[in-house]
Amino acid sequence: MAGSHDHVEEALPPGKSFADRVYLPAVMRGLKLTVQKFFGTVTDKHATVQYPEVGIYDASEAERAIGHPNPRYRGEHILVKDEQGREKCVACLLCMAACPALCIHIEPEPTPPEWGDRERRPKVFEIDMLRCIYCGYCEEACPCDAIRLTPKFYTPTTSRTERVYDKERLLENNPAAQIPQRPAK
Amino acid sequence: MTEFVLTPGMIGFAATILKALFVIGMALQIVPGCIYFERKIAAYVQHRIGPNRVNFTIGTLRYLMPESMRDVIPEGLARVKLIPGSLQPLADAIKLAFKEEVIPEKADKLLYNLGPMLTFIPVGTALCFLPFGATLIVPDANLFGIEIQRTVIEMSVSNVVPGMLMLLAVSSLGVYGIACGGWGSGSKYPLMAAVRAAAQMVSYEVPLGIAFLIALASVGSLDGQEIVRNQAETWHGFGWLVFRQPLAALIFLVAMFAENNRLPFDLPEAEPELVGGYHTEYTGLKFAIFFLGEYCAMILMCGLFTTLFLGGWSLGPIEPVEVFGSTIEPLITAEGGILNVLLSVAVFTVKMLSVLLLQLWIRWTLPRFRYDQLMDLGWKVLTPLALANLAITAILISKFPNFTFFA
Amino acid sequence: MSTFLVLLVGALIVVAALMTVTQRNPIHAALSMLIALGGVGALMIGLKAHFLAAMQVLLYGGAIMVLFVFVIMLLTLREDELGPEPPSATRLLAAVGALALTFILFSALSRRSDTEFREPDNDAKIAAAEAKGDVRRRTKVYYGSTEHFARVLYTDYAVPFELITVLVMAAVAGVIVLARRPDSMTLEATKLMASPAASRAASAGGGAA
Repeated sequence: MAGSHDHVEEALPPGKSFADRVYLPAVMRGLKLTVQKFFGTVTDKHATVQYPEVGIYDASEAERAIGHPNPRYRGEHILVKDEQGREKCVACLLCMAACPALCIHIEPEPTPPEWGDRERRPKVFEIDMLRCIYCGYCEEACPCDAIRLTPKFYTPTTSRTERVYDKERLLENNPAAQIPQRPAK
Repeated sequence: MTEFVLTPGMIGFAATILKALFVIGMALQIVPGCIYFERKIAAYVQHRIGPNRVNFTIGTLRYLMPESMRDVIPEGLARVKLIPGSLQPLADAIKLAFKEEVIPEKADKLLYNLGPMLTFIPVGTALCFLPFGATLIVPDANLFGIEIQRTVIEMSVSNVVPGMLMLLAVSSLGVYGIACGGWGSGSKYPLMAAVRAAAQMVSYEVPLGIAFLIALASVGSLDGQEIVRNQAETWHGFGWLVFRQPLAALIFLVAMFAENNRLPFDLPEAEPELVGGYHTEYTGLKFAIFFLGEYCAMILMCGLFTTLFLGGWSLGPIEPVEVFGSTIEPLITAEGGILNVLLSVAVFTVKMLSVLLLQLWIRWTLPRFRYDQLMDLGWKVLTPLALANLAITAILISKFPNFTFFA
Repeated sequence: MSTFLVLLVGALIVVAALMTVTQRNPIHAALSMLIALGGVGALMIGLKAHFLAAMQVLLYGGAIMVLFVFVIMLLTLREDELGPEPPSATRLLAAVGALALTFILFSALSRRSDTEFREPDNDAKIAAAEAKGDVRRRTKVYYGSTEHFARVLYTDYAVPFELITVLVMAAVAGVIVLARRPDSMTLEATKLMASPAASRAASAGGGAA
């Protein structure tokens, strides 16, 4: 079925035999192949996911003929939380410096005294998803594994301002649900 | 009371108008279906679904009902799609009809506007010479005080004797639409495409014409009905020219693809190489008419192939059958009744649609020829083969007038 | 009715023929010529010479004029490439020649006996055949059929037919002589010898031919 390439013949230089020059045997083989593919699609399955109705993650195994999205796909960012549910970020601004698209904006603030384990945390952490080129340099630059790229790619919105993700939204970004999360008003 | 008499002339006149409406109507009806199936076949061959968003559902029927009856159809049933995507051609047509007409500044206005018409008019005219059914004989009768005189109605709009030749002549004028459109657009890309198209169509008209001549010579007539009857009468109903002249049939088939600018010979419209072919500068309904003309040309050529090589409206060796008191002849003779004629029209349509399906099938199978390969195939392979076949056929005809294997 | 149609088509042919020689735009001239040739085909249909009409449209419309249009499209002549208007003496000579040709053709055609080209009465034959119930084979109409055409062409008119092919050959040879460009080297040399101004222009501009 889909993805199998057993029908691909080894590429040979153009034949000089009579059968090759007449074209007809090759044409007949081609017609046989397409009619097989045609009835294969009719009786078996096709590679199409009915996209807006069926999400790429919602699709059943049978429907997801093009395979899983690669887990290493670089999609939207997520801010990682530690064991106590606080953001891991220490607002060192390294990701901001590494970003080639200048889409990260961080304003640091001192941590509350009861935190103890670090001195700074981001007061504002914004990523302009429209500017981001999804290169993953922020992920590489981060010394405390606080920012990661997830395979989430289904992100349509209706306005540009919605594409600027703030800290809360980044913290709550759920890669498993490929549904756009509307910012709470 | 003077009795009203319908003379053969009057019946023939009315029949001609009806036949013309039937032929043009059929052609225009097949085109949207053809576009739909083309897209569906393309999709299925490529493991896709194809158009499935613009649907004719059971719920659509509600709009045809009076308002009070609309609730008769339950909601669940109303969502059932009858043929998925079947209204896509209609949606395409509506889109094209409401597009803005843009005439390029540098265009030659006259030729630019003439182009689409000149592609469609020759095809529409040529369809008139296609014999699409067995001859109908209206018997002497007296219906409700109207006296009907016996009339012979040939099932082709125009029944001049060299009808097939007329068809070829008129359809060869289709090049002018492409040439006018390409040249009149005042742009380089359509011009290049038009030059390619004109060269291709003129080149392939040679093998097409010779294959045509072989068929005509084998039958010994230029009359479409005569060609069909000859095929039906030899070899007990299976004397189709595709069996008697297989090489000519093959040459005609290949040249037919090139004449219609279809893959594997769609160089005039090769989207990856040219901007879009000779109709690059056209929008809206003019583009639609170009499209329509092309598809009608396909239908015409398929009908021509059916008539010349697939026995036209004849069905093959079948014994006469009695149905509702009317004899269905083996479709060889013309003496049948109205049922016979209807059946023959249906047979012709089915055969023609099969050839059309072959065209679609081949389109999604074969890659495009390069231009030099195209010209090589036309001039160095098909034309000499066709000429040799014609010479052999002519010799056999002159030596053995009753020999039916080749002639 | 048929007289009216003949007059209408005739007028169309005359207008199209005039447009062929008066239009400056070569494509328009070629298409006007196409209309004229098609009109002649229509007249042939009116004379029941269907085979001849089909041949007229097929050969002139489908082949020869396509090549005309094709060549014009390839060249895409601009206004300044069309050449100067011919002198009035040439025009006068051309008009005299055209009138003479018309006269010769007219006298040649009107001298034929009237009955030779008249259609025999076929309607009665067809009616008789249909009355007998013989619709299976359409009644052979000899007049204007392919066989009739071929017999006349290859017996009575064999010599004129062959002579016309010689004429066409002569025309082709003439076209080659007229259209052949002088050898580019010779052209440059003549130019250089002819005028010092041309020589300066050639050395400055790289000698655009």
